[in-house]
Amino acid sequence: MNKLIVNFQRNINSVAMFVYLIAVILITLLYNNPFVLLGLNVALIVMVILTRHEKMRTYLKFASIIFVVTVLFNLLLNQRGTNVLLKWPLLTITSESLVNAAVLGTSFVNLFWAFSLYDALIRIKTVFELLAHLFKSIAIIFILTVKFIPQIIKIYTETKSVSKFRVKQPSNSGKTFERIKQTISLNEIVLNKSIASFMNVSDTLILKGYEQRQHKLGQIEFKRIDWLMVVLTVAAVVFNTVMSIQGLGKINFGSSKLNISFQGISVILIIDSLFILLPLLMGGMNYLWWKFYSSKITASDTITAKNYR
Amino acid sequence: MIGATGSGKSTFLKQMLPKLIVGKVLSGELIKQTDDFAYVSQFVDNQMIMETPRDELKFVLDNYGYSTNEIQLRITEIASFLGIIELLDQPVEQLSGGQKQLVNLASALILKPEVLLLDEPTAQLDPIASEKLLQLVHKVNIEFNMTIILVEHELEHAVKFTKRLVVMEQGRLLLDEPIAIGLQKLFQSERYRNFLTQNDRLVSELKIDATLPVDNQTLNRLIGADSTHLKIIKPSKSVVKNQVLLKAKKLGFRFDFNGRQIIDNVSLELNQGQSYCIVGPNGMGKTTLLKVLTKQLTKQSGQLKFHDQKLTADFYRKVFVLPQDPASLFMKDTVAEELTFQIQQSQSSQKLADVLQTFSLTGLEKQSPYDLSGGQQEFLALALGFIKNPEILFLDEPTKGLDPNKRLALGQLLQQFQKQGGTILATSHDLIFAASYFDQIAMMFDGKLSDFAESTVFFSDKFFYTTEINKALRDIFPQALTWKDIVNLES
Repeated sequence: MNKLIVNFQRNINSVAMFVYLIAVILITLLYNNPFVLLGLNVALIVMVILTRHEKMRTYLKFASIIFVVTVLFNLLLNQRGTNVLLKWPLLTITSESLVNAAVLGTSFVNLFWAFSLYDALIRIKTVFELLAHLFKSIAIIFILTVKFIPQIIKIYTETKSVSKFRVKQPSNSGKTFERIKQTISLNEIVLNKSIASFMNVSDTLILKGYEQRQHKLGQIEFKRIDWLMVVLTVAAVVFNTVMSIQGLGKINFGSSKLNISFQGISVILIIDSLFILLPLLMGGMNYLWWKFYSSKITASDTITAKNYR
Repeated sequence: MIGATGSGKSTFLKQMLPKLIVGKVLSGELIKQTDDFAYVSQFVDNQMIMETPRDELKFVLDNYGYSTNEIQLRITEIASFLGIIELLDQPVEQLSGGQKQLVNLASALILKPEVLLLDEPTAQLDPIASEKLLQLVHKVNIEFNMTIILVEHELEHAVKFTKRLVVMEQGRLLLDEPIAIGLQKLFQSERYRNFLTQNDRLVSELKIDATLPVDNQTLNRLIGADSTHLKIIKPSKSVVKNQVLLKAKKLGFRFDFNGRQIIDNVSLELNQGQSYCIVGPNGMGKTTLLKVLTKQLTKQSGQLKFHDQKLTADFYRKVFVLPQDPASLFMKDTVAEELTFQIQQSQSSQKLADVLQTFSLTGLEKQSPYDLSGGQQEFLALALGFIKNPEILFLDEPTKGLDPNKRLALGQLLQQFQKQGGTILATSHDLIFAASYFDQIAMMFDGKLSDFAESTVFFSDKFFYTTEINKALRDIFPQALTWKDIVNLES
């Protein structure tokens, strides 16, 4: 993770982070103007690169699949429009249907990036406590899911790889039915094995006193930067809600006569991109403050040769 | 508290924790003077809910309604006491098994219980991590006068900290004595003498007059005083250079692009009819190496040859892997179905009843494989491997969760397999098991594998990573590794 984002993450409490991430997801859901979407897309990709650099290749592959599948599906379903680009017996592609498809594809991809960012920065404890506050049973399901989806995948991989040493492998040709049968039985085996793990965690929750939980929300300290973050987030949410109610940054999606307006999009783009990039900006400001002010007035606890070169 | 696998130790422990009890108490009454019990189990990962140790500790205290100030103070206290301050903000997936178990211990102690219940807490740890954990438990015991009930399969690390020994057998308390008397009585029992530590067993076998348990220093003094009447018996194992079955040359593997090299330039050869064991601490790449050698993970560099040829689908038919969790192998609803299915798949002529008897599974035919105890699961998995009769048997931590008697039985089964021409490669951090049943031993650390050497040669030049007998008696009998290696001259 980029050092500026790490700095932001360390300085901010989990509730302020949660509020920021939820606002980012909200922003990606509100607009469908292609220019806004593209701008948000760039800001989100920058953030994901800086937070989950090591997973970027996998994420890009997955985002491309989401985009292509959504576009193809939309081109099949919505063939309206007057400006015909291509005509096949069952498929007519118009410039309007193509824009519609690209808009939906980009929206989904943006949502995917927003959730990737959420996944990278969220702290399970906050979500769990919020859920526990509202719906106690759902909170348990949440924690079991978060903990056990990776475990189930691990059990699946392990079982699949060791079963090769027990069962004769069907040859590649003409045994599709045999393979499907084996996969079904493998899934059943994996589910059987997973249940034991779920039981252990429910014991742990009981032992840790979850049943008699007294604090609805965990104890969280709010510093000035946390309040600043919350205020900025609330302001961003209010701004976006107003813009959305006024119909700015939106197109008449799905229509055969697409009308892409530029009104207000520059403001939306600037404010929302800056908001998405807020961790980077705040981390950057902190860094500059440290480099040009704080480090000059702070005596280092380590004497290094570098200081005397 | 010790006892065979499935003897009811864990069930007994859970009686103190009414919320965890499954089933009904049929008779009797539990009289408790306190309800402040804390519990740590052997399932290292499943006891952690949150992402960092700090969140984990806060979660417990939040549940019990402590104030921010109290939470801060308690976390500071427990983290300093257990020496886990640096771990507090590390993501749990980056912690080792030993570190995770320390955090679990901290979660249990943070509520200041009066009794600490530990259910095989070292089952998934290597010897050094186990010792460290038990030393901390001992510190808790003596500094806070806290009662500790520890359920264990083996006494090796726990015995020096224990004041009272309880043996459980088939749901009954067979023995309940102060430790010194308890250990003496263990030796008198045919069934339980294998539970004794190597030092205590040696002293008892040689009929040396000493109070048990005996530490390394005392053992050295006792044996040193009596060494003229003692001799070492160590049959030298001849290494026969048979056909090379599996050959690995400069294997390399890592999980991430810039990640640590888990397998770093490893080369080895497995000769037919030989047994090999790779020892080393947890997280050093033993399991990954086994997975790369058996094509469960694809090597990223180097060569791998079986019968001097590249590995093909035929490889899966000729080898068998017993993974760390034997339950991964199970596919059917009952033990009998598992075995019958394997007999069919391997077109073996073996009879179900014979297999059940050889692997001590008679009477369990109709049970679900998942309901068996750890030891029984291990033996069922081994039975599946023996039915297949592979050329090479790969075993990953085969003694994990086994009591000493089961370990002995496992060792004998492996020797039997080897006598029939089978080749074995195992990974283990059980040094006594490695020294007792394997021809060749190597150590893995940081992805590098040392050269394989005969067990006496391998262990005799180790200072820290060797058996207790070797540590204690290296100046008197440098080649002795287990209690069996030293006998009276008369015998």
